[in-house]
Amino acid sequence: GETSGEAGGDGGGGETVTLSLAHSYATNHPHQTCGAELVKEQVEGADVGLEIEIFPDSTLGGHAERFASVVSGDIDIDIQGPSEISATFEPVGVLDAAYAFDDADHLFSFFESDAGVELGEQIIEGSGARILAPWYFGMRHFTSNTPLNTPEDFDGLRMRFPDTPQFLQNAEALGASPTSVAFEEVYISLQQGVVDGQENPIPTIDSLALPEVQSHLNLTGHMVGIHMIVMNEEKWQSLDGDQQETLQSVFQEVRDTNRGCIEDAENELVEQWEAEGTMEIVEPDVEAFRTKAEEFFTSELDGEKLELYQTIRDQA
Amino acid sequence: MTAPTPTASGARTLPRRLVRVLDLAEQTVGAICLGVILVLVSIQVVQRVTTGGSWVWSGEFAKYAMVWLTFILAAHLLRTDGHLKVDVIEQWLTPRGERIMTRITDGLIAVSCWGLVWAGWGLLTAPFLGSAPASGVPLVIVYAGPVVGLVLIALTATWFAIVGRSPEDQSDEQQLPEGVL
Amino acid sequence: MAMILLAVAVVVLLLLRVPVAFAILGPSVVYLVTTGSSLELGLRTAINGVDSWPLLAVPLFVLLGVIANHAGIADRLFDFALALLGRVRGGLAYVNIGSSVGFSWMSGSALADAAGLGSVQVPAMQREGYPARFAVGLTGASSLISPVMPPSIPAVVFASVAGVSTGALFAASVLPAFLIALGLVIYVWFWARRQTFLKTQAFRWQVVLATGKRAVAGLLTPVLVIGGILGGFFTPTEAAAAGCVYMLVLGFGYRTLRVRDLAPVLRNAAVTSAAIMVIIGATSLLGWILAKEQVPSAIAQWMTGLTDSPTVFLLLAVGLLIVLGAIMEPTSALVLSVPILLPVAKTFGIDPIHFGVIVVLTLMIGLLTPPVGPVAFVLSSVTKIPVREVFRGLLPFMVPLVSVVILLVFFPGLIWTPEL
Ligand code: NA
Ligand code: NA
Repeated sequence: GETSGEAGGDGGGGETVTLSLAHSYATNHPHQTCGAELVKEQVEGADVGLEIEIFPDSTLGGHAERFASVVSGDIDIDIQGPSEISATFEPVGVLDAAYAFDDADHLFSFFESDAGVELGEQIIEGSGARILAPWYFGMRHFTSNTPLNTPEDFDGLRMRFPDTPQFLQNAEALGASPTSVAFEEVYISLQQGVVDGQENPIPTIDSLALPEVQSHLNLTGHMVGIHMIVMNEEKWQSLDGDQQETLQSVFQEVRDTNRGCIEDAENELVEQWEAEGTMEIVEPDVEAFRTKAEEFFTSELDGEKLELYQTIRDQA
Repeated sequence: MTAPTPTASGARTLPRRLVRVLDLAEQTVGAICLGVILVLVSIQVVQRVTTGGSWVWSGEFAKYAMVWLTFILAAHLLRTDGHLKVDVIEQWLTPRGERIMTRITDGLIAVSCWGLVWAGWGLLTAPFLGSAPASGVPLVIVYAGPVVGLVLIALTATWFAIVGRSPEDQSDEQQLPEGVL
Repeated sequence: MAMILLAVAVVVLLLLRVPVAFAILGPSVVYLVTTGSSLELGLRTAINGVDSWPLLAVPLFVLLGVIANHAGIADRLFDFALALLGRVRGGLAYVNIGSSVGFSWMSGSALADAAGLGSVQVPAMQREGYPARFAVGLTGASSLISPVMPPSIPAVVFASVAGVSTGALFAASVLPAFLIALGLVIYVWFWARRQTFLKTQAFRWQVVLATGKRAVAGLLTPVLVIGGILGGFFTPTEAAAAGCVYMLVLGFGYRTLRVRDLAPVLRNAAVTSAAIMVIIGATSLLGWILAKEQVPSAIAQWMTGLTDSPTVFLLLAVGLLIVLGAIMEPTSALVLSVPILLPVAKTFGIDPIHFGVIVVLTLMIGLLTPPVGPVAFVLSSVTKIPVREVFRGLLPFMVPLVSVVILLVFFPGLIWTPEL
């Protein structure tokens, strides 16, 4: 029945729909300042009866938790990576395979291709969440205390990888031995030598203050960090045509602005570290890493995953 | 110091044998879960020191053992009056008043836990539940423990609300589990 | 409005002696139902609150404390400290503090200290003519060293709720724990000067060596546990497990622990852990609701309007936490207050680790104060001194304890934090 709910005050005749948009990133991360906030501004500016309420910094739960909340309809929109979505629709995980994508352009054009559109439909069917747009999260690189020029340089090093099947498979593909360390413990584990290195996008490396405990940034670019804007399908269907169109186009537009901001942040940080001598920037033999990964995946993957992997590689 | 295992203090009003079986079962599950946690984490230490590698699933298993432990023993704690609570106004209530209050609040606990049981059923039967990221354990198994625990809590609270707690539960000696902060 | 109703409902249920976990869960469930969120979300969030790797250290550190008590480590430490310090004027009082410092390296909880050491320390002091109030007060106050010194269960909980590194918080807590010990030593020194009855014991090397030999294996535990964490061999969770295994070996070696004790030890620690974890689960649901309703940012806005000084904010927070700690068991108070206070602290530019040390210490003081003073209850039950007397005995020790808190507020430099 009618209760004095949260919006009791202003829920009069305006029929404004408030959508919650949650993500994991700090309020100074480009996904917030040059992403979520722009989306809010543009969607509300379009005056189609939509309002956006942003919940940054994992305030509504961790990545996997929030994806479940999008599926259950407790969060409307979220920024997610392939690994969380793969918990409900497995083949998506392969988007995170090392060197599957060459760069952000490759990523974006894949999602616009027939194969990408079909994948989007399969995700809706498999999970009840719609992909509004892919976003770019930055290239993932390794940090370490010794230079990593070729895959052989991983020998004897304990590298921290996120604890998901695809990331662990990536470790194997690249020839590294993975160790699982909670995200909050990465800094102290590196400082104390529990692990010898880790991999993340450059802005994350900076926000974790890893240059204090790592001496080398190895520009392996072994993964194009992929994010997808996911939305609860039922909520999407409850919106009118105007609203759907606005949402879709705003997220698509902000995608490019956001990518620019992330690339700026990446370049600035690398330049700053190089200039200040905080980190030694290593330009490794990327081809050696790439070949190793590609050989691994073409022989180890099978079924739908192999098919998807090859479709992506063919578009490169 | 010796560890007096909490006795089934609800035994006078709840069917004695059932309570004894339940208490034993819950504590056994809890002890086994803690043992599993200790063994898995210890193995991880040994692996790190020796080979450097580790089983990907062991961390997840240990966490799930803790989830089971928590929710299964939550029922046990309710039955033995072992849950942590705030003791501010007890001295102002007459014993009769306190008994009535306890009945009402047990009723509230029952209602909210039955709600969560219902939600748990929805979770267990959801089409998109998926599986754990590293070990691939179906989340149905992970969530089954908490749902069973909630059923036990809801049953206990319902019983307490209808029949009342036994006088032994209202003993004025504060029962504190050993080792809490 | 919904938030006010929710807060009132939680407070009323708490006052009606509803277990903390259910006083939080009940109104949260009602909130979800009336605002159109799903109950599945409630259950999932509560489960996910418990499903955490850093929190695995909680049951393991509880287990470590339980095994240490079973293995009789406390007695051995006490005997050794007595042999070392018996000659000093007021020696037993220093022994009391010293053995608590020793025990604190292997126990993460004040209750384990009060239960394990209290039953030895208080009667020993009374036999030597110390007033019961002083003996029990000092024992209670020194038991707070345990949950501040790493390993610390409240620190594990704080780190997990706050999303900071447990190891970093452990490292930052060492000096504050010694400050408590120092504060108590100063207090005892002033007190002992005015006592004429105090006798001293002869210092004998043979006794020191003999008791030292009995205590040395126990004293090595922190080398393994804390050294393991700070030296980079273990994460805190792994260190807790390693400590348990070591302590089991000791217990079997001393023959104070038998195989058939394992089942009750595990049961006991499991039940205690569940009492903590279930509150953490329930509170993570409440935390979700507070976040959804933007409560922390509203409070932050209000606070920043009130003052722009981090020190003033910290003092306000300390006051609030002392009240909260007085009426609530500290883990509950911790998981309830951190999701609200920490974001505010961050807007004041306060380092989360610095904040964590202050929160933990302040809430632990609540263990000694009425109406809810678990340490006082435990001391009363192991010494048979009435609770009222115990509270009276604890009262003067508030001076050194609160002084340490104030010191940490005004001199954040005393808390070493790895740059994060
Ligand atoms: Na400790
Ligand atoms: Na108290």
